[in-house]
Amino acid sequence: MTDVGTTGAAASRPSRRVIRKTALTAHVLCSVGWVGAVGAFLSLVVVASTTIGAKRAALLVAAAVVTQAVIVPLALASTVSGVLSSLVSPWGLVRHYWVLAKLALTSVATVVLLLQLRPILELGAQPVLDQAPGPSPTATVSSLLSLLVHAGGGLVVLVVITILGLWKPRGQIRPRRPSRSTQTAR
Amino acid sequence: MKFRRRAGGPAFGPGGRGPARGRQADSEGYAEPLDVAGPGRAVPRWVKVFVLVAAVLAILLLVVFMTGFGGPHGPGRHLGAPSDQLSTDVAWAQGPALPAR
Repeated sequence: MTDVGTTGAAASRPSRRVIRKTALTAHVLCSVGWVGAVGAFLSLVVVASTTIGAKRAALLVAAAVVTQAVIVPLALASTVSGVLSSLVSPWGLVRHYWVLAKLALTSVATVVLLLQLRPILELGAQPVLDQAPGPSPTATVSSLLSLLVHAGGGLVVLVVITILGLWKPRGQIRPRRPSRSTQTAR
Repeated sequence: MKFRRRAGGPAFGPGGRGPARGRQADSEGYAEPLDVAGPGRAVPRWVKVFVLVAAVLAILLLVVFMTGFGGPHGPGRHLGAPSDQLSTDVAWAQGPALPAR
């Protein structure tokens, strides 16, 4: 019986490792992609704020597309994959301070992103309205400033999240429960 | 010129000042900090700094919300009803309404 149990545990171990590595790979891909996409968005908005006319309109449409098609899916995927990755890893979700800090910052960044989605999409649609007597350029400039502040702040938060994930600063909220084998040995 | 080394060492990495030193690897070679639970376990300094910065930023945001800084494009717009943003833009750009003669 013991042999069967040992064999079963040994057989399940590689699959757990594969799940852990897969979740971590997905999380790193989504998170790094999120940072890069926000950088691309920021560059589009910066250039759009320094130009006028059709070029600005095209840049704002591109920024809206990048947000809707890349940033939002990557943000949601990064949050979900991060939670899954922590649950299948020894770090746990609420076991270490740095994991909890990452989760809090990621949640805040995702919520702010979702709140900003509507203004971004409206700015992307604004050039069409500009054909007719529409919103004043002053309004667009203030909207762009708002986007710059939010995107810049978001990028800073994402960099902090990346540093936390790489450095893994010390501090344990609650200790890891001893494994079943350890309890048996005692 | 001599530099005096800090007694606690860096806050990050294997030599960091935390509740425990060193790292423990599990059966799969997964390194994990060797923190020891106990009643005397202190919250790390970086966590205190992190919470302090977060609290200051939250208070700043609250002040901005309360004062309405930034006009319709400020953070206060997140609190409002889901009205048409473009019409708000136009109203903001046109400035205050003139009194009727």
